[in-house]
Amino acid sequence: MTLDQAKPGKIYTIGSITGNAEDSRHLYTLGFAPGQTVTWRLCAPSGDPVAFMVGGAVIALRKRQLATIEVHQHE
Amino acid sequence: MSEPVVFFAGNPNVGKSTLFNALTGMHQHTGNWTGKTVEGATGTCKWGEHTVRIIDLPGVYSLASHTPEETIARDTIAFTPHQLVVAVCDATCPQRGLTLVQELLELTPHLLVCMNLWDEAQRKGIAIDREKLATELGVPVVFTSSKDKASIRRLQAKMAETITGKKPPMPYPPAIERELLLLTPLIEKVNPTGMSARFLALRLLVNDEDFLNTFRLHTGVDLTRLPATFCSQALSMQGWDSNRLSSLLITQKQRQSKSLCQRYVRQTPCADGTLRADRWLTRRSTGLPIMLIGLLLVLWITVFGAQAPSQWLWNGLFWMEGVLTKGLETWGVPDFWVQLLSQGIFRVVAWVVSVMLPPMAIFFPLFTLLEDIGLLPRIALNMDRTFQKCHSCGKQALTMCMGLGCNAVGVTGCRIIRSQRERLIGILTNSLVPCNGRFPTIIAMLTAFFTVPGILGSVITAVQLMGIILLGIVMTFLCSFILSKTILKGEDSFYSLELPPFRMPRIGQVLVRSVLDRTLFVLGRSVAVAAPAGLLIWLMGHITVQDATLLQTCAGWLDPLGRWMGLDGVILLSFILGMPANEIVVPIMLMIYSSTGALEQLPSQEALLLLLERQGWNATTAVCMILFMLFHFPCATTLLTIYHETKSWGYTAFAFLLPTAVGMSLCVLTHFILG
Repeated sequence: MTLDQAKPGKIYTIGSITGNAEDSRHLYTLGFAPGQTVTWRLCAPSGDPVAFMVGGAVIALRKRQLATIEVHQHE
Repeated sequence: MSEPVVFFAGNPNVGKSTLFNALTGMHQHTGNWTGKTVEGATGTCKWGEHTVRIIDLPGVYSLASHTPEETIARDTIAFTPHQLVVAVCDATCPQRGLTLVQELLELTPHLLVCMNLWDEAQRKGIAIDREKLATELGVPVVFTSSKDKASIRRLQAKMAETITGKKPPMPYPPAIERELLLLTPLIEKVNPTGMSARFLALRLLVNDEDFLNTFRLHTGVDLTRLPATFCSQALSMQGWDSNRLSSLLITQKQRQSKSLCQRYVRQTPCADGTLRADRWLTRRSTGLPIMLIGLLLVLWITVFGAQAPSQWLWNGLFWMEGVLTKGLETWGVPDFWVQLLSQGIFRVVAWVVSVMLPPMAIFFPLFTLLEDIGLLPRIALNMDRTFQKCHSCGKQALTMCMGLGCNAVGVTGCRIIRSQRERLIGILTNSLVPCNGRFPTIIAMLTAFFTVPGILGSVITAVQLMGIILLGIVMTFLCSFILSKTILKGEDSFYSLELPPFRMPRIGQVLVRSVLDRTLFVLGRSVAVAAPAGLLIWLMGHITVQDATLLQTCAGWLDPLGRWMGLDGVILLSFILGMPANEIVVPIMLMIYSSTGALEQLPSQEALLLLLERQGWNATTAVCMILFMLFHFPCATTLLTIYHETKSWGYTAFAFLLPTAVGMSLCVLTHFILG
């Protein structure tokens, strides 16, 4: 699945990032990198953007970006 | 030139600027949101006999992803000889900071790690093993918090020690280290700078064209000429192409900092107030109402709180006018001059001070407090959907908020928007949000024409004022949408928004800084501009050409256009003469009007109403005046800033025309409907 389908409060491990090279590099530096875990934290009233806890900080991304992040959900 | 140079680098929003201010005694504006520092600030700090130059760099997450801020930070550190880089980390989430620390270690051996916001981290139950972390990193680690003066002195002492790290930076997989071993001696031979050869070799291996170009421009050495292709090819053969390699450079550091945190940082879980507040602020049913009520509350405090001080100032200044008049008369100054000075210039300046000062002095600190708490990013999050629909950057919400304070600042702030197209949209639409200098005029019009006395009246005014601000916001969206469908066509680019934890605002500091730096500055400017404007108006009112004063002639020319817009020639002339600063438009208008009749010695609002009604104003005139105050050409300062930021007279002209066209059409429409 991709991160735009994430459910409230759940924890995910990032598998791979499929976007273009420049956007991927941005995601990497923000902490959205393969092997990192992210936790759904909150979303805007409209459901987009969604904010995740990643590497100790809370970062919100638009769904279009989140759709490029492949993840596995933690049990 | 000879004084030691120290850089402050770190993630965005970790309190670099606050530390910088504490060390240098400078007053760089700080706020609890990412991207506050767009330009590096420089200050000096004295330690005993030594003077150290401290440079505050823009906040970055990494040095590898090529945003404008990251390029500035990286190149400044790389190409400026320096004695020390202080890496400021957020002790409440050290992992992010430590990732950057590792990148910095690659770039410079002169590093000091500063774990800032230490008080907050302790409250959150975080404990860091400072000794072990310092040993493993090979550079000193200091804990600081800007509220704790002793910790600032400790930082100073540690900086003065300036220990150079001798520990080699973290190793990469053997295949890469092998190539680095081959490359570094080659680079050392040609490298004219003190920059780490390892860092340069890595740039070559990942083929960072952007940096290699900058290096060539700075030093005249073209590193791509080195026989490095073999190394890259050898790595490619083993599966390390430049893309995979550049990912590794980032991810390995992230893994390393995660592991550092696992070993040296302990956190005892405790209640998370920020999360609870965030839930309320972003929930569908409560988010928007809370934000609107908050805005209304701020506006009401501004309107209501300004009433009494406004009246005191007005009365006090009138008393001074009496003294002034008597004084002038006893000195034997001719009547004509006494009239001009006391009833003309002094009375208008008195009106400016008593009507303009209180709302500005209340609104700006309140707004700065909200900024300090960390509310702005939440507003940006909630509004983002609309920005997406406009195909513009969500950071525009932040620059709009800055525009509420001052449009010139908002325009400069648009630098935080990375995409050129989205940045231009932000710049061109910024002055559709009313700035602090325009509030008092709008409030004065509202209270003079559309309200009742007392507390109820102030609530009505606040609601009306909120409607006007919302109109400005809606118009910003509309114009952004139209721009991104026409002359600035395109899709929205990558956008991320950090939501920092809420912080207790530093109330004292906010009050002092916003009153001293902003309010008095704006007031000083308006008085400084209003006085020569008064002279100009006086001259224009006394130079006669063909039986009419210059003022009458100019106002006469503009009158048909003004009437068509529901205003009059004098009002339009004031807007044009008031170009230097929005807050002097009304004073100029009053000066022109009062050349045929002075402001009466009534309570300030009634005096205004009486004077305006004598000039043929009615409610429609006031509505049109408010609309044109909201939407007209930006002030000269903002226009110059727009030129400075876009380097294009074309866009500057467009930024002039866009709000003017919006304002004129709305005025004509209103005049047509209300009659």
